[in-house]
Amino acid sequence: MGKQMTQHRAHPYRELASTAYWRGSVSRGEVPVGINPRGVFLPTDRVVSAGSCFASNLVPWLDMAGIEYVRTEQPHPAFAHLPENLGYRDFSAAYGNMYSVRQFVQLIQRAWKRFKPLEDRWHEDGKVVDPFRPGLKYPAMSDGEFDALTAQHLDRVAAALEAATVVVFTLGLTEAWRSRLDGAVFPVAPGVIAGEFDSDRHEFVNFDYESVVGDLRELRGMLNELPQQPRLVLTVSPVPLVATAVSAHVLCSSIYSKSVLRAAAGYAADTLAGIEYFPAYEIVTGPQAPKDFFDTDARTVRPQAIEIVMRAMMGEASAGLGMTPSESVAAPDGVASVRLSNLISEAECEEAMLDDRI
Amino acid sequence: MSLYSLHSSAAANEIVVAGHSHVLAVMHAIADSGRSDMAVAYTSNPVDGVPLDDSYWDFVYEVSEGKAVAVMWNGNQHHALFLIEPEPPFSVWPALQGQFERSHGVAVRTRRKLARVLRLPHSRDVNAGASLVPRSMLQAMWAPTFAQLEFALELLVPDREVIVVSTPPPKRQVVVEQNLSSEAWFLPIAERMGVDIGDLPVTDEFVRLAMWKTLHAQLADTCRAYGVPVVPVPSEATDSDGFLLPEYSAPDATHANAEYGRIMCEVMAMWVSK
Repeated sequence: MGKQMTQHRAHPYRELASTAYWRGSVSRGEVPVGINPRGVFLPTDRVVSAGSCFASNLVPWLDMAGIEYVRTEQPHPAFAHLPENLGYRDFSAAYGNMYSVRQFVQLIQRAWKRFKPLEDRWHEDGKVVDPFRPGLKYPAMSDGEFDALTAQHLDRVAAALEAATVVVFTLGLTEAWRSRLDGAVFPVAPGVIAGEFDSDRHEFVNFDYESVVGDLRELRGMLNELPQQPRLVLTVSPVPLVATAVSAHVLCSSIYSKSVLRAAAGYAADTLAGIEYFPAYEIVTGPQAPKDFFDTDARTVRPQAIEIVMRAMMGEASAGLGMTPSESVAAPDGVASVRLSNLISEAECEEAMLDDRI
Repeated sequence: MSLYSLHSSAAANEIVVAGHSHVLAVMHAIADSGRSDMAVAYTSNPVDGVPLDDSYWDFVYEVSEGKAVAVMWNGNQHHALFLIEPEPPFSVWPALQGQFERSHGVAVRTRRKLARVLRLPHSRDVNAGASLVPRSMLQAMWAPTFAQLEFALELLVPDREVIVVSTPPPKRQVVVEQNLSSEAWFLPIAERMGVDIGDLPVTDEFVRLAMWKTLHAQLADTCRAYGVPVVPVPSEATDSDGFLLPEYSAPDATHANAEYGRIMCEVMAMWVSK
């Protein structure tokens, strides 16, 4: 009798889609069923991406799918063969990796001439270093040249945003270092790659939930100022912290950071028009994910995991592109997989350089 | 027969001038003047030439025993790639885009044709954003060309008095274009390519000057590491912006003439005796 009563009662769960149920939608070792049936992009999209190093993985997939990735600051062809550091050529403009929303907001403010950091250059070994791009391989040799190159870069950032129909941002960290003078956020603590740490000028910040939500709201507002009001797609990087400046175990700090970022991104997507959340983080780190999605260091995301994320993100546009996960393991010599593997294995993060300095 | 010779007006001399093609100005000056205190170590056949490799510097070392050595190193790296303006053009600090608005009326199709034939970089869908190239990027590109200078200095500095001599600065746009239009070896090439000499997109003069200065800063840095002084270009040979004066120009796009060589002989002699 009890069982009969359950079958006929109405309740809120009865009318839900099948993907609302764990059983049948989630199985260990498989891509969650229906997690993103249509994909994020339209064939006519013009994509700008920014964020942590995980965000650069998207670019070759867009190229392969024939979806335009906006590039406004590529090296002149005569110099394209010269190497560059730390992903400065991997994004729409040469801003490199950005780990916090605040950093991205400030970059746009600088590009639109609304913010000029007081600590805007470091003089080192006859070169003038950009504190917001400290790993650039070819820094300026004088203040005048620095001003001109920086102005050109910011102009290219503005041009990229003006061209975009969708902006993808991968949230990476909550922990950051910023200027005490004006709150300008550095991509990595001064002194790690360049510059000199000075506790009178620099301070640690661990952006909390309200801060991240506030920054996302501001980011959406700024993008709304553009005539085309590009869509904003948020992802959270599954890559754990290299190191934490909080007095806690790095595992706890990492989970805290990712939790804050995930909650903030989700809230922004639910409450602000023009923001979507794509669950790259869940695909890689959820309980269903295969153990081999991470390398033995439990931090490096393996190519097969990235491929699965990218296929889910690309949706139907990924059909026929690259290789299936099993092939990417068995036959790494194909053009697409070698390129993807190279990009992944060579994707450098300023954050990763912390390890060598501790 | 040796690949290299000592070109001199006298059996005895006190300074051996060594290096790449810019030594020819000095060689002509010595021949014209009969100057006896200098000799130029160069190929036995300056017309055809041979690569100035490590064996050349061994030769210089041999013939310069008891003498000073004046090195005129390369000096054409900026021309080798960028005498003809690539597409898209680029600028180098301090030659900013606004300072060299081009109005030479060069047909775009001519530039693209040249780019294909000369295998120069050319734009596909490259953005306009690569317009200012960092000087440190240029220096990175040129770094391999200094490896042999380091070999030469390591060989010579311990036992010889060595000076390094700046190579001639760039020529004005009109001088380069004029000389190219009458350059004997280039005319038939241009004709075969179907290129109108008048349409040649020579890189803007201020960009070439900025590149030359960047190159010489790199030369100075290299020499400083060996304690070797770098002799500057005398101001009498340049105009107010720093370009080579027309009267010192050889009838080509990049080299100086014997009169310039005569001035440099005087300057080198002064520096060696310092």
